[in-house]
Amino acid sequence: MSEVRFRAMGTDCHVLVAAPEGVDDVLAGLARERVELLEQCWSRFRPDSELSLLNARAGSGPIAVSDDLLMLVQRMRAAWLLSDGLFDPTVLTSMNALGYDADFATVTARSAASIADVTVAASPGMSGVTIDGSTVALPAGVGLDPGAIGKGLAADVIATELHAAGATGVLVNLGGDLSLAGEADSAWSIGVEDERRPADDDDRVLRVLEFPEGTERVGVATSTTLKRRWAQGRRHHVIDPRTGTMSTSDLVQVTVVASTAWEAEVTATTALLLPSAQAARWLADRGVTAVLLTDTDEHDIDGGHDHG
Amino acid sequence: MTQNRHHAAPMRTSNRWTKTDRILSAGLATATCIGIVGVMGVRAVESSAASQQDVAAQAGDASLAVSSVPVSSAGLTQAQLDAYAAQLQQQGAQLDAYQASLAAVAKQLRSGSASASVPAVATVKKPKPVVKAAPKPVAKPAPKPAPKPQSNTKSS
Repeated sequence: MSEVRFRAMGTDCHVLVAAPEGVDDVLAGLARERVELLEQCWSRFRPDSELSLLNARAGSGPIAVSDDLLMLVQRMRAAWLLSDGLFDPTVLTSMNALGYDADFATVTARSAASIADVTVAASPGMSGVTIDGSTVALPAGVGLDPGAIGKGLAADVIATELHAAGATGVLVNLGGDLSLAGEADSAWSIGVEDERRPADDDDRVLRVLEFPEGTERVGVATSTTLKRRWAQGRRHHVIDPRTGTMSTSDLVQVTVVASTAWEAEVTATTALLLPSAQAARWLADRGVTAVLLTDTDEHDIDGGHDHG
Repeated sequence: MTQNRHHAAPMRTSNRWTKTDRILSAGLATATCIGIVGVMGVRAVESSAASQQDVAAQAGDASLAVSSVPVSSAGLTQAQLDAYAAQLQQQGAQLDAYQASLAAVAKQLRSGSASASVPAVATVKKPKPVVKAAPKPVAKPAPKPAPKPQSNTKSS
């Protein structure tokens, strides 16, 4: 089994590939190349990315896009529909207005004095975004934020492609959004880290999720309001599209297991917008396995069964 | 609150990207789309530039024809559109190279001759990432089961 760790998409990446010796290293290297290609296509922080150009041409009518960008927009719309509009990539305007308009290192390097109070509004939603064949049209003033879906979807794409190429098992972890395809020599184990604890805390791994041999496809993702905070911690990146400002849920972290990483990521982020009791019901209704954390409490849902 | 050990819920099968030929098809389709975008971009630039030059000539104002003048409704300049078209072509070529490498691996695995000598068929030169293989298990007199492959989920 080959293992590679690297930085991409502004986060830590971890790839494990089970394949015949030699081939595993080649496939792990290809996984890294693919992450870079997807980042170049989807990044909102690169002015020359295809997504940035699409956003810049909002209001200009249909734009022909690559298959990778088309897939991202299609999943964005699917996620918006699945979540009844609670997951909304059109929060980009609010996100930028609140100050998260560059890569996170740049945002946190700004002085607190430069953080102005802003007025934000509810997000427009995906209803005005038109997908026709391989073209996408954005209404004027609407931009798409790949946050809370892009890394999960990228992990799914890479895991699927490497598995289809012949790897017996692949795990792709992009900043905590994991996609599993196929089998390793033994069961896969996924540790759920508790973001409430310090990074060097021995008890930081709160749960270990076991995926036995025979598991074909799994996605696991964690979303939290405890990280990616700026303006001296007063702002975070989980935006409620109903208000255009930050989520005020009592939940601080949600981990979800789903059939794909993008679905897990979208579901976890959506739950973070809801009060904990409502989020638990919403997740149980969807039959997922999840771990919910508030400042002081933990709540487990196992395959839709609420364990309180 | 209880602390439970979790097992994966029954997973539904996804057929979206399970065939190698789909990967190849997707690669070709992507290249085609990117090519179309590039061509559309170039044609749009040419059309807009020609239009701008006509206007400039009629108005006797050569400054309208310089590349810093926006030529799209989104305020993009001819130079920006040119650069974008060129970049999309390069990205398309990189994606093709990636898909070709993947196809070569798949072919070699199917033929049963997998080894460390999988050919690199990439045609677009870019710095190759350094891939560090995990330390291989060392043979021991009484081998223990290998540790389970593990990764952690945490929000970035």
